[in-house]
Amino acid sequence: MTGSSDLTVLQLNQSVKTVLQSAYPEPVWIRGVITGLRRVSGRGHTYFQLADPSDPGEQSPAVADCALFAGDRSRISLEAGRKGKLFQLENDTEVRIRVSISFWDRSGRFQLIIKGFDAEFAGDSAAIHLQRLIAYLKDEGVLYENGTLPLTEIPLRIGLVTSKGSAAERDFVKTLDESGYPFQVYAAYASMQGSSTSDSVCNSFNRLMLSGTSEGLDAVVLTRGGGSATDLAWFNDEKIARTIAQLPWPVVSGIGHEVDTTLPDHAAHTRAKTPTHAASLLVDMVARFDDRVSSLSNALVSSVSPRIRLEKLTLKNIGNNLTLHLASLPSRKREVLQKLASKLNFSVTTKLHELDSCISEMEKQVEMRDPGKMLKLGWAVVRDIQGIPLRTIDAVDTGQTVNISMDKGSLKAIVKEKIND
Amino acid sequence: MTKELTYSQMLTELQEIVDLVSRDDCPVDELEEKVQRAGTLIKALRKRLKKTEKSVSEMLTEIES
Repeated sequence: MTGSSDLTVLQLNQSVKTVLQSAYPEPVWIRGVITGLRRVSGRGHTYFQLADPSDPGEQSPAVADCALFAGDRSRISLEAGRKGKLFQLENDTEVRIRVSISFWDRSGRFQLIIKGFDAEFAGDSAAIHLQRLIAYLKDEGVLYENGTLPLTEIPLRIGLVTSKGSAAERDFVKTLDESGYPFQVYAAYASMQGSSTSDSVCNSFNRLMLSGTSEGLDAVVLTRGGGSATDLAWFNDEKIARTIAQLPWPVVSGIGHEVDTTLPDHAAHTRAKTPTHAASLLVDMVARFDDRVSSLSNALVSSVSPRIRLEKLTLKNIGNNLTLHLASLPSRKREVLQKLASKLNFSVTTKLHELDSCISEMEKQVEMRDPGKMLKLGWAVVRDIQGIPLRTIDAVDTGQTVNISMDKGSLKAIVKEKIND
Repeated sequence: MTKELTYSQMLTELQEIVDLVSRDDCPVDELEEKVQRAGTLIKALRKRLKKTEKSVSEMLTEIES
């Protein structure tokens, strides 16, 4: 059954279009997360879906098709540039955009035509996205893993993940070199900007793991210099955070400037503000250890020094006394020696005299018996002709020839008569 | 080679000679020989005493200096 009041599709679409236009005569502000972003080359138009935010892994409650025409893009970029902001659309980022509602009556297609872009909100949105990611990864415990690793007091063997030849690398290495401590740096270079950042950084961590140096590393530093919020936002990838959580060494993260915060800063063991600051943290640790050793050494020396001084003084006194004693020793000994010598001299002389007297005495006794001497005194010795001494008159016969020895010669005599006493 | 007699040995011998010649029954012939030996011993003993005295004197001089 049909009626004259029935509408055609076109009539309905036109009616809906009219209602929409009367409901939204001017563009409105809307916020949502960009998905399915694609650019149509040649004409410069950009198309994507804007979705209401949802938890990771869950489907968005609502989406709407969006279009940014080339002409509008140029104008919006210019406006953002005047405010010192960058106009950039990226998937998975939340944006606040001003749209006019378009309804194509021929196709019945509903589309939001972008007319404006809130550059301030873009930054805030990235921050909210990061906060959500941080909260989510904290719940899983991912952000606490690396922080539980012990960091040695003297981190000298350092793995470095950064861009090759970058200012960050120069600043970091220079600060270590200027410290004078014997740091050893093992670099694993990575792309530190653009969509490949996350994969490249994770690959560099893996290369350090696979290299022979990995076991000996004390810490690994992930660092890059400052850049736009968009540049640094490439680090806000949960893959990097999950990789850091699985590393065996403490990670020091120094990405961007002091005001910048990225996801690796939360996943790392220690956060540094800049590449130079990352190096300074390591240098300070080694310096603190050095200072502590020095002060311990000084304390040891100062506790021992008084004792050593006392011992030295005691030794010196002993030495002085000994010197004095030794100096006086020869004279005292000489005195004793001289006394002994005098005594000896006296004893020897006395003894020698005694001996001499004794000899003299014996000499006298011998002299008394010397036949020569006796003959000189007038004594004579009578012998028979055989020379046998005749000691008594009984040994001599009258008429016997005898020899009489006298001083200066002898007599041959014949005994005439014997006269007894 | 004849070994040089010590002072003590020479003194003992001299004493024996003195004892011998002091006896009345000492033969006159032996007496002459013994007196000569005694003279030799006395000379040697005195020489030894002189030498000892000189050595001791020199030694003491050395110590005192």
